[in-house]
Amino acid sequence: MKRCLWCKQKAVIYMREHRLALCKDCYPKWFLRMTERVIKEWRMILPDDKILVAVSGGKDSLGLWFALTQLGYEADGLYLDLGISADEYSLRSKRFSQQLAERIQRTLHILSVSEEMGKPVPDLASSSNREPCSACGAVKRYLFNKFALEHGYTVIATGHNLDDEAATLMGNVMRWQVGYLARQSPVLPPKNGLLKRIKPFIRFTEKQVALFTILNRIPYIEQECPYSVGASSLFYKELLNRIEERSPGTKWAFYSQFVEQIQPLLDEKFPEPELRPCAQCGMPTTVEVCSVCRMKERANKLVPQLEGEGSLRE
Amino acid sequence: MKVEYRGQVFEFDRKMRVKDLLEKLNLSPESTIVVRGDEILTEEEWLEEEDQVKVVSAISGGM
Ligand code: SF4
Ligand SMILES: [Zn+2]
Ligand SMILES: [Zn+2]
Repeated sequence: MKRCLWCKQKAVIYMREHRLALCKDCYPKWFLRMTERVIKEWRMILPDDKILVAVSGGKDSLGLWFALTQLGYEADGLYLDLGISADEYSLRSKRFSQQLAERIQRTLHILSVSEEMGKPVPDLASSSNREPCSACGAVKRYLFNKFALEHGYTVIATGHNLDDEAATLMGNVMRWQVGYLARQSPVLPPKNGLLKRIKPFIRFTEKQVALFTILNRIPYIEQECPYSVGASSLFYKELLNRIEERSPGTKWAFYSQFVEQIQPLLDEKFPEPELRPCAQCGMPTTVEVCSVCRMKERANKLVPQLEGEGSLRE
Repeated sequence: MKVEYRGQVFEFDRKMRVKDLLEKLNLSPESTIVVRGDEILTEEEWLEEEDQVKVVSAISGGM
């Protein structure tokens, strides 16, 4: 039986990449310390920042919100009701988010996509011929940014973990999406009306985040969004885990070397296109009318397709 | 032993290590957590015939 390196109790996890076994009491402490270290190293949060956590009801965002408050940060949450009715997905995930808000005594704002956009995510996607995840991602980024700006927040924190980021990186590398690669960083500075975005969990695997959430007895939605089935990110995650099993530490090396060495070069070489205010909503975009306004328009009345999609950064 | 995974229940009639169970279910130890009651098990631990465990998948799709 493996024992905790710190206190010799029975271990609950052995992290090969760190050669570290920890018990149920020491692991959450290690996890918080590591989170704080990442926040400091990347200068993610400055003393005057007002933090808004993008809360989905899943283990990552709830774990992040909890961890930030444990570390003493005054972070509020924003839950976006996507209007995904299959298996009551949206309803259930909202309930888990509200539960945590009560426990940590922080404000959870709730926005409904149907109310903001006139239609729920599945309808927005179908009427604009987009994949649900692509429409969903665009709407989420848009509404989070808009809400945060309007309510005086200065930073948006998301629960992306190492597996998410390494899988995205792999997907972007496979197709050499240099524009996306140039923007893939644990911290995106504020620019042209887009708020600062941070990912404090990049150092942790999904399993590590899940364990932190479980050990802190935070109930979360285990059920997957019905649209995630068959997502290529899942396939990349499985591939990366196969590699990780053979060669511990590879995921982190793949990702961290990229963000430390390659991304800054790409960012310089491929600067973000100039953004200007959308003619309709005033939010930053590369085109005349932003892609979210056009989606909204198409979903609520039938209009001819417009050429060229302008989208906010990933 | 009874194994709950994603709402399904699997039965196995011999003792085995956690990592053998994961192999049988074709799951990676990198992305799963095995829980027995209140207890979190590591890969090396043994599961007895009468055990009831839950396998939690940590992997999530979408974006
Ligand atoms: S899986 Fe796709 S549709 Fe579902 S919440 Fe995630 S991005 Fe949205
Ligand atoms: Zn310990
Ligand atoms: Zn707009």
